[in-house]
Amino acid sequence: MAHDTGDSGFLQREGVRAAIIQIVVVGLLITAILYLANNVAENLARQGIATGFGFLDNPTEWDVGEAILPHDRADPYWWTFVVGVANTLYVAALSLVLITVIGIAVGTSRVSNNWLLSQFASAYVEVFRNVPLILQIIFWYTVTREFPHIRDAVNFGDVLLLSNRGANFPLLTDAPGYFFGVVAFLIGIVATILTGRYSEHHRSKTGKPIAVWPFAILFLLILPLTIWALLGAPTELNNPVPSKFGVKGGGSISPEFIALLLGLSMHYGAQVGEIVRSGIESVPPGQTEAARAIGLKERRIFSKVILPQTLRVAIPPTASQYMSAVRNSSLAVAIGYPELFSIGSTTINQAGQAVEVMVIMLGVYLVISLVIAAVMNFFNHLVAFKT
Amino acid sequence: MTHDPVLDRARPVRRRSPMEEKLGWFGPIYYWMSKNLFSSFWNSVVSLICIFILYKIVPFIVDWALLSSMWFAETGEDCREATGACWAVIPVKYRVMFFGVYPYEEHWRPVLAIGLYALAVAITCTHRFWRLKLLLVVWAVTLAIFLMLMWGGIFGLEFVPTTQWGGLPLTFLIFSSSMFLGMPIAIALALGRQSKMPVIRILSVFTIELTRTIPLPMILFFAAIILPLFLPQGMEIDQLLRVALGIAFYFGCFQAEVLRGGFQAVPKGQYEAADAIGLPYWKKTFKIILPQVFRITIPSVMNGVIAGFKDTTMVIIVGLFDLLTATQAVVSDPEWRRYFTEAYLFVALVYFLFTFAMSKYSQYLERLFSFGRR
Amino acid sequence: MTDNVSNNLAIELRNVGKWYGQFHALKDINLNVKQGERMVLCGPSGSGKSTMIRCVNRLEEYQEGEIIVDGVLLDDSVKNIAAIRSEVGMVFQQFNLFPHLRVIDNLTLGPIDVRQMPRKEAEDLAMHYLERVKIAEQAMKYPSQLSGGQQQRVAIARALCMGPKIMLFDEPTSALDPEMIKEVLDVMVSLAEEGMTMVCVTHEMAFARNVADTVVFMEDGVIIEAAPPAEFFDSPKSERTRSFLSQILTH
Repeated sequence: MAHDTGDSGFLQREGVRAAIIQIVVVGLLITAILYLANNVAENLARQGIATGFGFLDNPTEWDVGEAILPHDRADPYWWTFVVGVANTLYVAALSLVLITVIGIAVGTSRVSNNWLLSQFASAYVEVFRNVPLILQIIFWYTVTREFPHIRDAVNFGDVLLLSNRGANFPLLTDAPGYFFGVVAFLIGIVATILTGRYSEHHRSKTGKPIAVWPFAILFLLILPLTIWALLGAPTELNNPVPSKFGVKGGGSISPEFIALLLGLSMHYGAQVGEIVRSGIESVPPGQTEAARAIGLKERRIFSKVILPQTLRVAIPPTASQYMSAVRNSSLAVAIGYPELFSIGSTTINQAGQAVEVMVIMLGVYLVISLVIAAVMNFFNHLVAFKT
Repeated sequence: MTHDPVLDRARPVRRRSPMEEKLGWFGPIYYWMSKNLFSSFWNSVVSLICIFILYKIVPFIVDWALLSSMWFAETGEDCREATGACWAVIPVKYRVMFFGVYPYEEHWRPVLAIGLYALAVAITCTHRFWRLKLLLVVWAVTLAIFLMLMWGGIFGLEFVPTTQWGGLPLTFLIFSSSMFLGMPIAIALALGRQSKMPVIRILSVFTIELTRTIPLPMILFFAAIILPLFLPQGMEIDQLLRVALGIAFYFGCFQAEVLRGGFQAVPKGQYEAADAIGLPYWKKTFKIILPQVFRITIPSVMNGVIAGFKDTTMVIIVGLFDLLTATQAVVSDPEWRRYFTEAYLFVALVYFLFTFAMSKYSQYLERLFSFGRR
Repeated sequence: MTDNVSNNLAIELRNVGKWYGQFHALKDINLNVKQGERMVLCGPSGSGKSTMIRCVNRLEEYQEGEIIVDGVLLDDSVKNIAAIRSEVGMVFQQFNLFPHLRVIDNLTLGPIDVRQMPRKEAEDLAMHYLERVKIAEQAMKYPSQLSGGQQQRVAIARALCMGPKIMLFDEPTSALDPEMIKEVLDVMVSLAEEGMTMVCVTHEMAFARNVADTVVFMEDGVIIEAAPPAEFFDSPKSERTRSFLSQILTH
């Protein structure tokens, strides 16, 4: 016969307790938010700082330094933020490319048969993973700043100038020979990739391999050169010319940019290299054995058996490293490269709109993270094990 | 091209080929080289390139770092005589690097504090002492003595405000506070994330995901500069504490995700068995589930801890004087500025040693719990 | 040096020795497998039986002696190894199917990539063998969607697609649930009936008794006894064979 334990009143029922707890939590949360908001309002009012996003229309009144978008002091704050975001995206995009290249190179080298190569790669990973990122960035920055003055710049045959203002290099002029030559080269990259895919497709259909390298030479070398020659074979370059006041002409990148790019790429390149290595080693040795037993050659084993399985395992952690790299581009604030966070903190210093600026920066980083996550998710689905 | 764990599992005693017999003692070396360095055309090309690089770099480094370097000097001027590295910057400036602007005569106090800290770490790492209450007591006592030594103001010790703390003690303090404050946050968030109560779950997910999107520099900036705005007038929280809380929160959100994986890996039967016995929620969680979660997630948690140690360097952004910031201060000194490479290399080495020790310990823990491939 | 004696010998092992570091895994092994012979290797774990067959297709290296497969000496030469591997098929205890490829692609990978067969021809070949192992309807599935017994049968078909003359089985049923062992053994029996040279490491003594031409007992890296099944099971010569049989035949 069932009996009541006696104290199963209303408050003891499971569902009710849960509901009460949640209501209390929500209540506390709302109270806390109101309390803090009130404090903020009071404190800001006391300091005479207006709230609201109206300040975005005010002129900036300070210079940004370097940027890939045009900027001057009279531009409104919202444009300054756009410039900052553009700088973030610029350095992030370049470093993501470098990180991927370094990561793959280092990861595959570590598992190579060549003892020297794998030791080099191991040393690289150990050093650049374990030294804190910001130390690396500061180090590269100090290195580039200690280069000589532009007058005595380190000169590589008048083609590359390294000084304490960064690196100066020649740019191609807008002669049609250059323009269409470059276009042909870019098209050539796409053509080579397509040729590679077609070759693999052909091989899996008929068994006969088609060598890709002759096509690569054709598309990447011969065709662009031919076009360049046909359109007048221009050889003039927009050279950096050192003068008393600086450098005229040519392109340049600042020490801040170099330091940030190098620091991010080499550190996260090492991290991704670890991920790649771990992915390759996670493929069970039985797979290699079975592939060998069938008679596949080593290179084919790697590309058809090991690599697909590695990608599946390696893409999610690599995605998270990418996002970490983009987030930590904010370390630029330590060396003065004007990306979003630097600009944000300077704005807070100058205009005092702390909360609003934080909200803006938060929003931008959120959007960037979501975009990267979406792209990597797409790749993930592409290579996922279909079950 | 891939490394074959099967064939490499052992290096067997081999019968020598006639060529090796001819080469005598050089034979095995020749065999090793032909397999590892010159086994194919491209392999040989790569090996030659590597050897060439070594040939160019190694003598240069040996000369710069050892042969032409100067290890002791009085001033920066003296060091100019050496064409190589000026390691003298370290003996001359190491106190600033390690202790920041802490008063010179009182340096024995941070040294003692660090020694105590090292002792507490050693105790924590020893398996034999793994009882939660014991460790909590050890750390509480260590923290108390640590703060007392650094702060002073009692027992006849001169008072030193936190703004003058710097260097290694500061790095350790920030590191441990963020770990000790961060792990409870991580556990709370991980538990919240899988709570059956929708409000708690949504709040936890939101907090975790939001914090993970924000760069750590931004969180530090918030903690150091913006947080005071949220406090009522007159109330102040020490900046050091705020920054430590910031790192702790960041660390906690990342570890919450790591722990979540651990929670999912604990077999459902464990939860069911605990429920069947009638264990209430908190007892079940702390006595049955959490220990298993930690056992499973040790490698990832340790990874996060090591990353957390490296993240302490970010306090340079908010002007706290940790080991790295102190080194940068040394480098700014015009007398020693040109030897920044030596100073940064030294500090990099210090960090490297710490992270290396931690990852070795992590491997030891993994073996202890029999993880990974045997 | 290899031609005259081994005309009808599929595999010859002469004074083969193998070490793992200091551990002497194979000690002076002498064994011949004739064409069309069905051989079963048995023995306690660590006896070297898996090591021995893995040496035959160079998944392990040996240090002493000679192994000659179908007249070709197995040494460091890449050409010889490739030639031998194309004659020898292997079935693993853990199946080792490629999880990212469908069943049919698992089978066609070898013929297309190594024998340069056109895809259509390779797929016909694959379907032929899938029907042989009675699993044709699973051709488009992924290995993770199949049961253990089904996966192992696919693995056998995959090995057969390369047209081997010799099939090596390394404990093919040891990782299977009991109810799935029979389906795999049935396939192996039908292979044997067609005259395939087979060397099989297994604990399935019924299979050994019914199908094998020779049963070989190994212990501690040495061949203790080799005899036709009737003799091996009913009147084993060595004391160690007897004690092993008594342990393994009590269930």
